[in-house]
Amino acid sequence: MKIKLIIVLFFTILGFIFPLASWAVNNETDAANVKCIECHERITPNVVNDWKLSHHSREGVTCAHCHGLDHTTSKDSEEARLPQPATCAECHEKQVKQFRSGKHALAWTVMNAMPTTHKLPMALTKGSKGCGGCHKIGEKTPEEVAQLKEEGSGYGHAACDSCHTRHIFSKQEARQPQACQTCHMGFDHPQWEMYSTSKHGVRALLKQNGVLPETAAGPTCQDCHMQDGDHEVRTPWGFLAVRLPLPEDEEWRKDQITIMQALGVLDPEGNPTPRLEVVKAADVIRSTQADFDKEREKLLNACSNCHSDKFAKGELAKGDDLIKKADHLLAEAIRIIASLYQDGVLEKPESYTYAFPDLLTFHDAPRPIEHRLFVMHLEHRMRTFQGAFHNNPDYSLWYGWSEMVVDLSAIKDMAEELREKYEANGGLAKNIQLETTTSPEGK
Amino acid sequence: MLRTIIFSSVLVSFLAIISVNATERSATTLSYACAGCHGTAGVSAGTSIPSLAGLPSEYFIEAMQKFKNGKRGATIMDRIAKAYSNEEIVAMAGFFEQQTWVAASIEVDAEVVAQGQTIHEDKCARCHLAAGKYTEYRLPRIGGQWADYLYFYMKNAQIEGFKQPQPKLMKKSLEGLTEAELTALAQFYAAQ
Amino acid sequence: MLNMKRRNFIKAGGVVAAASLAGFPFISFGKSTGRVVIVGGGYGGATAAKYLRLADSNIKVTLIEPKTHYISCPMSNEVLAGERNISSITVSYQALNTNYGINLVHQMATEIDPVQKNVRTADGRNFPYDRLIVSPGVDFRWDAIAGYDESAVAAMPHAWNAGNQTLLLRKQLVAMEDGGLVIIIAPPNPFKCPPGPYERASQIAHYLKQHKPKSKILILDQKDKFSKQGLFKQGWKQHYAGMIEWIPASQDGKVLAVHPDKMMIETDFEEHEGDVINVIPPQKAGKIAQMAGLTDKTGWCPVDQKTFESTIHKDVHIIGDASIAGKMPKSGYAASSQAKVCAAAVAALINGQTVAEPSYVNTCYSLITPNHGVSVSAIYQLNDEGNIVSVKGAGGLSPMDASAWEREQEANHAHSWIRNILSDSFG
Repeated sequence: MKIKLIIVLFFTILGFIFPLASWAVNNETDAANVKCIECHERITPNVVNDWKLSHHSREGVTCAHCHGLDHTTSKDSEEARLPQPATCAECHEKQVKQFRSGKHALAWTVMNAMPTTHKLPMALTKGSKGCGGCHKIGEKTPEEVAQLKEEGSGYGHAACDSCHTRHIFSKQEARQPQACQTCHMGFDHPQWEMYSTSKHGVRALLKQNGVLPETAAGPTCQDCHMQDGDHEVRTPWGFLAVRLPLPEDEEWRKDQITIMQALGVLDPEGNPTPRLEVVKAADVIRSTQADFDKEREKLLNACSNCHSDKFAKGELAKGDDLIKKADHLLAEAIRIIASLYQDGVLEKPESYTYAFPDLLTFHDAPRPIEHRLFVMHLEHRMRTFQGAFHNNPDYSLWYGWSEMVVDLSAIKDMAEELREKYEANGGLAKNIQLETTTSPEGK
Repeated sequence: MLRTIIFSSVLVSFLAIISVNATERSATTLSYACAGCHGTAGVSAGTSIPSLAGLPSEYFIEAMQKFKNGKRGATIMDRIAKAYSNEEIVAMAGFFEQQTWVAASIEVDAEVVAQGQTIHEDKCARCHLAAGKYTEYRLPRIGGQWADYLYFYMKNAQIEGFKQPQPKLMKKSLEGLTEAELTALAQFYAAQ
Repeated sequence: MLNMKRRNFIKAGGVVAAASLAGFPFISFGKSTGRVVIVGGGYGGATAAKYLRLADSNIKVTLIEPKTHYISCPMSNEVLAGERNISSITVSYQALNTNYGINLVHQMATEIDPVQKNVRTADGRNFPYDRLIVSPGVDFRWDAIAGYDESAVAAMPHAWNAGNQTLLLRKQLVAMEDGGLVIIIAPPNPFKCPPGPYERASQIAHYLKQHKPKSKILILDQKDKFSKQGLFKQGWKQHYAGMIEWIPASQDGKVLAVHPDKMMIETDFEEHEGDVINVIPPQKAGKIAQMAGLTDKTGWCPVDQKTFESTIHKDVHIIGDASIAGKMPKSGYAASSQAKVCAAAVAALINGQTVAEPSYVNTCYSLITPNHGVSVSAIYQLNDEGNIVSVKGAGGLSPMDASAWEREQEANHAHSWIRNILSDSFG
């Protein structure tokens, strides 16, 4: 696993250094007669129309500048080059450089690093109907793009168009909070729902529809996370709200260790695993205090447009505290399940590396109890702290914390039941496994 | 074959003059008047006057509008463009777009052309694809265009205060190029 | 193929174009059997012939022109300065035949019978026509200046038709000693090429400045103002300070008589002796137009300015310098522009179609030095009264006080223009 991912990363980096090969054209005489618009005005009129509305068309950037000159007839559409950030970087160097130092650029790599990804139907992953639909924002190496083509994944592998949708590629559009909406919503990261119903979002949206004046305060996603148009998007706590160094608070420290063990970045003995290296490389967690502080400072800078430093710090501290409390609930649930493995009540699932719950198997969790843990972690814990940072009271409490408490009590119940059955079966874990494959309640 | 196309396109275009409403000046009538300076059917024979044949209509319209509105500097086209209505400009754009491009024929110095190619690849190739021969929408064909015209265009773009609307990247690319370098670039394109 | 020399292009184009005339019957207007005769092969006549065939390849076009080669008046002033060889502005008529199937008759047209609709040439041949286009250029008023008749041109060349006269004037300039005086007599309006005398003065000054810097040029003008006056005077001051003196008619510029034997010119109050004297005589429509009764009392030809059909004789069209074409000046470019309008009208009339709304243009470059060009331009349309008027708010002169770089570009455009107008008219 480690080696494979390192290779992936190596090619990713290689891709950055050597942007798309030369633009040499095989038949230069024909180049003079390439008439993209003439055909596409009929075939895909809105693509042409969008482009005509774009800044690109005004600046003389035409079809061939991004798609090359090789596709000239309906029979050779495969020859059309599909742009990657490297293509955009040829003009928008600064923005792509920023993008590459943020989390978005690694989205594709991260998706592929999840064991679950490889168990899902292709349509749901690389086919963009699931994970890939959003994770496409990550940069792909030329080799990956070639492979995607070979696998028949189709189109939609560009990254920058996640926010600057094709073919208008509007700066203005990408500055609106709706630009983030498609991906930052739903199960594991409903930032759109949290933000848009928070006072921050409500005011921003009221500004959009003209109820509030344009100059009124009302922060967009970008105002905090992409200040001054900086395409490097990173957050202090990262996606999973685990980080290094570990907290000084003894109990929280232990809880974070437990969660990291369940994430598979620490082994059951607390030693770093190969997955930690991958996670660090993919920039999923902040691995130093300075790294965390830098991102926190950036956010506070945005807060300070409207709030006093003291107020803002206090609010963010409440979020931190909620992570600590939520971690305690989650860690307890993890430990309960871990003890089931330890005591032989449950057999270690085959796909697990250790006899310890693995949160990154997602819904491929083998039994309802592990599945409940996954939901507790990826849906409810996320809502608890994300709701706090996005200032949405309902999400933190009812969709987050409250659900975690319910999850924990259900897991306790299920564990107890499993132990009883185990005892009743004379210590045969296998029988239990077969009998408890009913779906979990609640979700 | 190429010449046949030129000739027949001129003939076909001319038909428009007959069918047009007599109170409007047809595309052909209007465009034929340009030929004294820009050559028959927009194929120029003069080194500083650009060929218009085959230019994308969008480029033509934008250029003429800007000449007309004083947004593009010129020695003479600003004065001439003012004579035409927007509809007439569109009509002429359509006429010239239909004509067939004929590349300029000039004596070039291979060494200078090679120098121009280096600059092209370094600074211009990203937009002016296929050695400047690719043309679409607002991107004009420059491969095979007359060298003096291209040189004047680029030289003017370097003059502070001269109204030469162009992409930011192009402005940046042209910055600091010496007269010799501009000449080399112009020769490279003309040689295509 | 794409990099072939332009001359080759014209040749190659000829072969294919001729083939396409036969090969594209769909472009014709049916079984038209129109016969159009064109008299005079200057910019006007040649352009009319070419564009008629482009308009309707079924029309039989005959161009009657005594010379086998045309020498352009535009740019011939550069020949005087030694900046240009006359061969560079000499073109054969052959391309008109090869490329466009125009019947060339190298004879002098001696008689036009507008009633029988026939043109007779010096060799006695007859050329019946359905429509006739006359593009005769100008003739000189030999009676206007005492002492200046056709025999005087050897001593005092007019050089106002390019060719031997141009070369003669050049020879005289070359032969003149440093410190000599060149006199140019500029004609009264209207005359062909309004800025021409002043460009000529500039070009001669350019030559003298390099080779005979103590020499002077005196322009005796038969009028009080002239084309591009401000631009010329600014250019002269800049390049030829103290070298060119211009005397307007009202300040004793008016010439009473010339004496070729004494190389002397008489005005009201003075006698001027010159080493080289260039007399540009007053003008009227070309001889054949006068003979055919196409001129009015002004000496020029009145026409319907939409079709250039004579208002005197039906089915005869007059274009170029000889015609009264509203506000358009008498120039090669104007003649060629009128020729296109006229060709379209003639094709339409022959085919019983409506004559389309015309558009005319004239751009005129003058070279003050080889690197200092100035221009005047106008776009014309027909007004409600049927007169050619310039489109308001457009055209006009090069700006005063422009930079040397702008003047240099215009000089280049002038040189590009001559290549284009020659190829558009004769190629």
